[in-house]
Amino acid sequence: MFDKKIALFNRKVENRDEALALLAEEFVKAEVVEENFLTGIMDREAVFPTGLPLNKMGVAIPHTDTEYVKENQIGFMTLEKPVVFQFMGDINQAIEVSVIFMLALKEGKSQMEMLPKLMDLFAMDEVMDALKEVETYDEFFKIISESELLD
Amino acid sequence: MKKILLCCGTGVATSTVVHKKLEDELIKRGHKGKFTITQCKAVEVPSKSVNADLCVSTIANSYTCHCPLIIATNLLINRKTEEIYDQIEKALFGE
Repeated sequence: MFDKKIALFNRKVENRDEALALLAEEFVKAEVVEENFLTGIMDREAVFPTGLPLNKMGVAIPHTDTEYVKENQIGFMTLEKPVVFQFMGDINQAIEVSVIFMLALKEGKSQMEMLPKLMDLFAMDEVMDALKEVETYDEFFKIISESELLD
Repeated sequence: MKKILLCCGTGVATSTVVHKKLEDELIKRGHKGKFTITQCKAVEVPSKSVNADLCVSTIANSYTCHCPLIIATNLLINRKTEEIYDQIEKALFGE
C-alpha cells in the first residue's frame, strides 16, 4: 500500500483542486495509476465528496473507481493551510481539510482490509496530531508502522 | 424481517466498513435474526429501496430513495455513533 512512498509534507496550495492535482501527479509518476487518474479523482469528488470531520482536524480520502488503478497505493499529504472539501455525508457542508490520504485501490480484499484500519486510525486523535506534523517520509512511516494498522 | 439497504459510492468500500459495525450493534441491542443488511451502490438506491425498510448511506445521496434514509457517515469515523444507532433502531423497530 505504501510501496511507492508517495507523501508530500506541509504543502502550500490555494485550493482543493491544486492539492488533488499535486498528489495525483505523484501517483501517475509512480505508474501505479492510469494517466487520467486525476480526472477520476475530480469526477468522483464532485459527485461523492470525501471530506471527513475528525475531532481535531478535517481529513479527506479522495479515490476513484477501480478502472483508473493499476496497483494498490496510498498517498499522503499535509497542507500548510487547510483547503475546503465537502463532507462525505452532506455535499453542502464544507470541511477544512489539512490531511489527505489519496487512495488508489483495486477491486478485492485489499480495500476491505485497509479501509476499516484507516478509519480506526482517524479515530486516534494523538496519532492524527502526530501525522499532521511529520516532515519526512521516515517519520510518517514510523507512525504508520507503530500504529500497526496498515501493512 | 427488516430489510436494511446499506449504500456507498461503490457498494463495496465504506459500506463494508459500516456493515460489520451496524450488524454487531443491532445484535447487541437484541435484534439478532430480525434484520438483513444488503450493500449496494448509491446509483442502485432508486430501484433497490423499493423493497427495503430502511436505507443507511455512508455518503450524501441525491438519488430518489423510496424508504426512510439515514446518512451514517459518522459511523465510519466513530463520531456520535450512539445517536445514529438510536435513529436506525427507532426507524426499524420503533421506540
